Amino acid sequence: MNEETRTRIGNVLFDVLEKQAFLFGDPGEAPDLASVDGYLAASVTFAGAAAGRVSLAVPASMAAELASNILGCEPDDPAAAAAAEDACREILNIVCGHVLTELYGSTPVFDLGLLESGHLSADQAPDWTASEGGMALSVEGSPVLLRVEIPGGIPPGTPT
Amino acid sequence: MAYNILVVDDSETMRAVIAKSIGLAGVALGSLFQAANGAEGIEVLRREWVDLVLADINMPVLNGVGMVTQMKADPGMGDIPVLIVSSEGSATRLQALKDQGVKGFLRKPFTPEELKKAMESVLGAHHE
Repeated sequence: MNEETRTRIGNVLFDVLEKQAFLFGDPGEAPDLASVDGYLAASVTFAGAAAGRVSLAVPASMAAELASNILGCEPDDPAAAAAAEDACREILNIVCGHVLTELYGSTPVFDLGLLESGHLSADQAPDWTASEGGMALSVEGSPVLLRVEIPGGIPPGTPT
Repeated sequence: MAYNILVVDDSETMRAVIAKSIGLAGVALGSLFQAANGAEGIEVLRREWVDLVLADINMPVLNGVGMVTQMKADPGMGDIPVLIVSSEGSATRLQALKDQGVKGFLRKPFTPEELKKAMESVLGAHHE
């Protein structure tokens, strides 16, 4: 994945987090992976004009804040903790839809698979970011990981 | 007029967001029904009076496209206006849904104001 595409995909995540969860990213800040103990992760497959998988991992410490911002409750509200996993999946669902449009334009039809979620340990994070479609972005000072896997390759340019 | 609204989305979080946004938008609300997939949504429509359906596309069991197809084939629910609320970005799929009779589309993420506009547009068009 070239830098221009990486930036465009990163901006998709920033836009979704800002609009849906009021969490703000800093594209100029290098995320500190060592500051995180573990992540709440979600992934979804897609098929259509191309097939692949999009995955998202947010620090476990940020997951409740993510949910509370979406729901409009306090981070220590039990409802936020209960919704953290679902909120992470839903953010991924939105990000995936926008990433596909960003990469392939608005003509192709894609079918998404079922959203899955789980945990990612801190020592797995470097592998994520080192992979072809992986990246770590700084959001509210914490690393958020995003990975786009397309076996046929990620389209390098803007769709026409 | 107060509207009975059905929200169909597999994310409980998103259903809560939509419910809250409806409240913030100041839409006159009668009853708010929720369903976690298209099949549950159809069940609600069979037993409740609903004025507007807000439906996601990507859901387990029966997705939004399948739900709309079943609704339009059923004389008892074929005229209920549907607003798709989804991250879908394919103009091709949206046109197909429009051809099936879907009245509006709102792409996630959205603000309460955008939801209000979309709902007013769908309900306004339905009552013209």
